[in-house]
Amino acid sequence: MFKAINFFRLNRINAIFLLLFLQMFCFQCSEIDRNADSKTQLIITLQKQSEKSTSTDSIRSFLEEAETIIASTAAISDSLKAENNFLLGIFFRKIGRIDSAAIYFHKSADYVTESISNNRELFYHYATWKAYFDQNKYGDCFSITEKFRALINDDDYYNLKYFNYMLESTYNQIGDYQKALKYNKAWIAASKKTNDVSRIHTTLISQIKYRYYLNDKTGAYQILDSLLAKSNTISDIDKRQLYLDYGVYLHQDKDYKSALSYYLTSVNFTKNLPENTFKINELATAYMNICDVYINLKEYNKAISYLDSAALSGLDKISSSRQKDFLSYQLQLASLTNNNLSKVNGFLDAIYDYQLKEYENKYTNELAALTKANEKQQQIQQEKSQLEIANFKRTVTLLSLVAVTIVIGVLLYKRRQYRFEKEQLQIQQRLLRAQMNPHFTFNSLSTIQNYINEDQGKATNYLLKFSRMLRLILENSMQNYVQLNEELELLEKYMDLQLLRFPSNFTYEIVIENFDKDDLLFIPPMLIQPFIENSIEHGFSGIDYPGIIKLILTQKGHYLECVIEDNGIGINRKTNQGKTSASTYLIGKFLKKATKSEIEVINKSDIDPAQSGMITKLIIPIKLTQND
Amino acid sequence: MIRAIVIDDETYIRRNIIDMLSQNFKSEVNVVNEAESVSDALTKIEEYRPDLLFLDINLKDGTGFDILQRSELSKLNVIFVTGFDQHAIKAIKVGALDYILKPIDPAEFHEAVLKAIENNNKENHLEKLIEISSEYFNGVKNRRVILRTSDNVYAIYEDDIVYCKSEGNYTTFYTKQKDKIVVSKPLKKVEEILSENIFVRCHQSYIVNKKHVIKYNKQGVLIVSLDEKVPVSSRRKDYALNLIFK
Repeated sequence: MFKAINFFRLNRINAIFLLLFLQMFCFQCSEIDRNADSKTQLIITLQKQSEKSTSTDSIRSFLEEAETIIASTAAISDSLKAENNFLLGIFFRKIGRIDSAAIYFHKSADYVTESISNNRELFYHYATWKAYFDQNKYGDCFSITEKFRALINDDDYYNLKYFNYMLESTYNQIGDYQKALKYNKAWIAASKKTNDVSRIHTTLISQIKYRYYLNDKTGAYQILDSLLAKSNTISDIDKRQLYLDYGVYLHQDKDYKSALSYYLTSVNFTKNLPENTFKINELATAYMNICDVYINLKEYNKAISYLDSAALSGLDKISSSRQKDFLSYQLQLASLTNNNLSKVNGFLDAIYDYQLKEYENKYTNELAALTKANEKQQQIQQEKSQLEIANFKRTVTLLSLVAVTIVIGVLLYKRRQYRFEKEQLQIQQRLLRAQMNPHFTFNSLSTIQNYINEDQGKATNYLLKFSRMLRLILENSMQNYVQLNEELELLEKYMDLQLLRFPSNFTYEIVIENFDKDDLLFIPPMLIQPFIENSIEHGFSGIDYPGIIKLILTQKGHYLECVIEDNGIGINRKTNQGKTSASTYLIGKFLKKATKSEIEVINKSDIDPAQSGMITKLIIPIKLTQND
Repeated sequence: MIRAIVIDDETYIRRNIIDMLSQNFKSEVNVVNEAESVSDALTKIEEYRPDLLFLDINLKDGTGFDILQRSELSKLNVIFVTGFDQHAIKAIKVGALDYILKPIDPAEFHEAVLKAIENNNKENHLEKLIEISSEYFNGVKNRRVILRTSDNVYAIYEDDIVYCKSEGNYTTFYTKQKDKIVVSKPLKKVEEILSENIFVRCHQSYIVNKKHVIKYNKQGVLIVSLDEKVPVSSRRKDYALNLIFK
């Protein structure tokens, strides 16, 4: 029921915290002067920036950068490392992660191994202790305090003051008032040695408590009275605490009237406190204490009115334990005054509503936080999937590009290959003609030579025919394809010319099977002539019967089948392979390429021994135009 | 008596021609002089004013066409004498001029000289023929061809010919001006004098100017200028349409 005492203690600790912060800045200025090294300078700059920063993210990034530099640089002083850990500790404290803060503070304190040489090192220890203290880790509090004590001399009263304060607070917190009192006294002693007695009243107020609960009530009241006697030297804050404590002790000792007067005085001081929840709670507590006093004095109306005052600022503003107290006083008063319980009910409902609302609020907030987290996760998921889609698209684009490039490459290659093959074919064809013309020419020239000796008139005649034919051959040879009737005309001219040489030696016949002579069909020139030449020159050489050459042409789709048949001596007796066979070899090679079929040569005697002669079958490509 | 000049850079060929003339046409043709180059020929033509030229195409300092273009004679007959020069032969054919080939076939020679004697002193539009032949030889853009009918000589722009139709040994030219010109030449010979890149043999009996083709209908017929119809043989369809419409 008497919760008032705990509040002032927090206040006192916060004040010390602030004080040490100020000292810390002074210390850092001197620290900078000592470091010339650029890395060190950089770390210091980063640390300074972190202290100037308002956003937690930038503080963290500055310090983590400094931490990285520290980790990668050997010659960094311990003091700088300690400082960085300390600043990280402060950062974590700021964002409410007090457990992490404790770890960093402890790390900073661990760099101090010899003795406490400045305020900064003191503060590393104090901050560590405070972080443990706030987490109720009193064992850790004792261990850091012990470490701190080992670093200070017996006559270092300044640091001893802090040491005592830490121990006093810790023992107070665990309820060991005996020890708390001991260190409280040691604090006062150290304080006196340092000539700093500014906070002595606050400390004495603490001592009263220890004494009171250690049943040294006389001592407690003595100090209370002595403090009240010189109340003009005490601050209002201390005075408020003093009157409040006095009231509480008297209240407990059942001196209600005196307790009431002290409570009322303390209420006046409380009213001067700055507006915050501390003040509201303190006031509510004070009013409820007064209410309790009036209940004990059996002045229920006053008790009720003070209790009502406790709820003036709104029941929902005061702490839940105070709400509980409030309700139990209401109930107590209702039963004491035999009043109806509807008023209590009303308050109960109000508190219930408020708590429900609180719960709902909390629930809603949690739900909102959860939704927000969910949304964020979904957003991340969405971004991730979008990124994946983008990646997929990029991959697909890349792959299709590669595929297209390959296809184009293959097509280009095929086209090139096709062109190359076509060129090869044409070169071969040209080679063929080049091979044949001189052969034919020289045969003819030797015939003319013979005529000149025998008969000049015949020589002229033969020469003219030969020149016309040569012209035709040349004209045809300039084309890759010639019209079929031109080629046939040439063959006729050729055979006529040969007949001049070998009169009545042979006859010839050209049979066109399934098309017209004048049809616009084009074939490569000079393919048939060598085979006819072969029949005349070799097949009919030395025969004693009239030779017959039959040329049969049949169109078969894109090809022309050409059969050259003679009744000569056949292939087995052939003596001269020479140039003719070179020609036929080249033609065979060309036709194989162009039509994929070979020249067929049949010896008639192989089929029927009664017959002689040869059948040669060629498959020649046809085109419908002269241009390829 | 026809006054002739023989122009050739080969002495033996000149001698051969002169011999053949004196053997067969002693009373009809008198060779007044001979020349071996363009400049030599121009001087002698100026000096002797001949009626007939035996003209070689390839001379040392130019061509036979140079001589024809630079001399100012009208009513001059020309018999080209050429070796193997296909471009020149085509030019002569386009201009419907006469020519004989080397080595000279006495029969061909005889025929050509007889024709020249027959045409002597006749209005034969030789300047026109030479002009068009020279145009082809020198490679002008918008070409003309000479079409000789029984009555007239036409110099017609190839672009004005819409199509040609074969009728046996005669060929009819259908022009943009709606003229029908019947020439006594088989279609194959006509094809020889027309530009390959403009005219397409789309049918056994037809040559069409692809510049005049408007469309091809499903019945296998080309619709050309003047709303005339030109058939396409089924066998040559792909080839012809590809050439015409590509």
